[in-house]
Amino acid sequence: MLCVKSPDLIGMKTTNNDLKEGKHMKNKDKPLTRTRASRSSIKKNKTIYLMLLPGICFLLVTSIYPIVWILRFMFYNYTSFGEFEFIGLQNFVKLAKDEIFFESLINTVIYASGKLVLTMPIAFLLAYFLNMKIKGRNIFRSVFFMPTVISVSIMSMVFYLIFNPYNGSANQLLLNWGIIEAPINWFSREKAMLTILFVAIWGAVGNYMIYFLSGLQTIPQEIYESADLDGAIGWRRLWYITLPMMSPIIQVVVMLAITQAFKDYETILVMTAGGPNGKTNVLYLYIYKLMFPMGDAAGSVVLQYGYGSAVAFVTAIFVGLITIFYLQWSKKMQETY
Amino acid sequence: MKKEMGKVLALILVVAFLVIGCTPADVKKEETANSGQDTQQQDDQQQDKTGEEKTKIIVWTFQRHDMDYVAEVVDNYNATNTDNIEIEIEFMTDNFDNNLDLAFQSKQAPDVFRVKAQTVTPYVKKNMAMPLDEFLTDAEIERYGDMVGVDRLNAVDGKIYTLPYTGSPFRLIYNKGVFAKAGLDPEQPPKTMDEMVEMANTITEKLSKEGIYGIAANMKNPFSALFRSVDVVAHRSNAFPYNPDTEEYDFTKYGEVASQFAKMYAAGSYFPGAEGLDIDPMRAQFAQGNIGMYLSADWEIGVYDGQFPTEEEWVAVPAPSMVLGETYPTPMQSAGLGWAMSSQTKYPEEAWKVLSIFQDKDYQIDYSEKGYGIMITPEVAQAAKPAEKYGAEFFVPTQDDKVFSPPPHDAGLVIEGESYWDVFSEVIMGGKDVDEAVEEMNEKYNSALKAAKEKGEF
Repeated sequence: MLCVKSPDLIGMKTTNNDLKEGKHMKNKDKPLTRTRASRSSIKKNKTIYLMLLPGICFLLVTSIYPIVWILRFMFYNYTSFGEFEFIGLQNFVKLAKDEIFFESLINTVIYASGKLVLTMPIAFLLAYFLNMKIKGRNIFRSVFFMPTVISVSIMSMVFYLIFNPYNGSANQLLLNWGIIEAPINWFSREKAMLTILFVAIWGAVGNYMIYFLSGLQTIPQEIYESADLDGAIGWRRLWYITLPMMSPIIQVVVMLAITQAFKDYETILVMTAGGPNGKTNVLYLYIYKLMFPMGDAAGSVVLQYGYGSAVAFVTAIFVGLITIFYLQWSKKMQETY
Repeated sequence: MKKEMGKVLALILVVAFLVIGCTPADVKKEETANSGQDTQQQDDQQQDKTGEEKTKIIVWTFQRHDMDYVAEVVDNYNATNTDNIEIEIEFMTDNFDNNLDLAFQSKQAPDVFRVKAQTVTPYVKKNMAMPLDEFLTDAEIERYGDMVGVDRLNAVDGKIYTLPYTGSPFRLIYNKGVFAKAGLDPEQPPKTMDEMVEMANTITEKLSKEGIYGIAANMKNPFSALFRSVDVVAHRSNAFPYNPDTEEYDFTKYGEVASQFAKMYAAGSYFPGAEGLDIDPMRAQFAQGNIGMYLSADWEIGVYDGQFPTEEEWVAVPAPSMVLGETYPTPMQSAGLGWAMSSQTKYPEEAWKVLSIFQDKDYQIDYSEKGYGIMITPEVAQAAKPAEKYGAEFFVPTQDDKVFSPPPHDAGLVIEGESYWDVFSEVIMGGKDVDEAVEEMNEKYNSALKAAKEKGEF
């Protein structure tokens, strides 16, 4: 770049910034500033922005507006449509003493942990084996992915019937095979959460298997060939090559799985409605019940939009903190060898 | 040129999306089972054939089971009335409460609406209901006896807001065939809880191998399970936790009643999977003869007539009590609550005339005899024959089926955390000690009531 001072700047001290902004140059030769660059980009891509506008409007109305609504009404007592009263932080004071909230929190942690600990290894192993050149692998991939495309409510209702302690097919099969001598009560206080976890894992494995499969397919074959030459076969290949190469992808998939596990409630709603006695009540189901009471209250339907908003906000913060903690803890996984 | 075409196309798409997104939903004006938020403006009037303007009265109800009958009555009225009134009725089965709130907020409320809650209090608090006193004559009030003017039920601060309509008496429903199979006398159902426990256990002991159990409850929803069972027996035994005389809660005797149900659960006499059982799957199993007995109300008539037709010989008798020979009145579900007039109606005289159609003696007798519900107005209850549907005769109100003022927890008292139904369902399923539950609930409910009284709410 020819560094010729502009007549305006002659006699003034010229800084590096001035040089970058081209203050020493004539206007028509001046490089674009950031603002000018943005404006030029918007003008250039006007069509694209216009095409995006309906989607943005939709997002504002269906996502941003509800979030703003929640952030507002968590400071209100809102128990009847259209009538609300500002109460400051009272909803949060109530939450701090809410036994149901804390029980739901514990249940959520148990559920999420159980789901993650089992789903991730199973999904990864399935992806690993289905990435190999075996006969019928596409059929297997389709079969394992099938639960992902089934409606959660329908799947949950079917499993509710399968696990029906009275005449469900699960007990019938186990009795016929002589594995049990008496029907198992799959929805008892001790077993309800395990039953829910089984259904949740069954429904989730296929989805994460696909993510892992996509990741496995990005590992260059040359690396495996070199490993073969060096004698790294079998589990050594998996442990020393595949897993490290996959670590950034695993980090992201696990993060997605964490947030999803904390948000799950549909299966629980259909199968146990959070029972028996709150043993399977999770945070998002509790929020759902506060926003859409299911006839638990006698008398008039008692909506609790205000308190429900406060619980939703605290839950979101909790899930966010868990996610941030996980990302910090798993930073090293972003390094690819 | 291509750029310009792209811009035009983008603009067209944006406008198209905005138009689609902003177009209001179609307004449904006919009778429909879906919720609707569209009512015509009150000052819309229709012309009849002679050119005179008719006053349109909008009516909303949440009940669907009597839709055909009520629609027919409305059509007949519209065709023949000389009051110059046209009724437009909406059968809003989904989100009735929300839609009603929204309608009042947007000043598009119906003129007459069905009271859905267990008390008229919330409608009065939200200024939705209009007092009916100025329209009621002494004779009309007298025909309802002690069922009208019940504080916090159909009256607030001495003003009447709704009139008695239907009521659902609770009963013990049992299968005679199952009783006989288990060696029990089918003509001798249990009269006390001790007998009920013994009979339930006997049925289970003898017939569980055939898949038949003594008792069932839809414990998936603790409120739904207990309000129709433990609460009913508690009322029958003078053990209900709220004492209107002392205005205090005491769950001690209620805990004793719950303990009896807990005995049956511990003995394995509850239908398997009660923890996750919904009411309809439970009814389906009873219809198949797999359950000995359970407690519920007159809804079961329609259930076993249409929803789960059964060949089983089922009967319904008064619920047992804790002590033989000592029985007390039991409140009927939804009794004392019928139709209300909107505070926003521009045509109160006409709205009252429409409301009176549903309170008419002949209408109520016909409604009752056709099996749509049990009308509790004394003169109607005496005059109406039991409906032709099987089982209707079991639910004819007796002297023990009463209309009560709802207890505070049914009349808007806010209870934080678990309700007593949640806690005592845990007692029944063996998850909590009954004494601990009694102490906890006494503390919780009395504290809540005290706080509410200090605020002037009760």
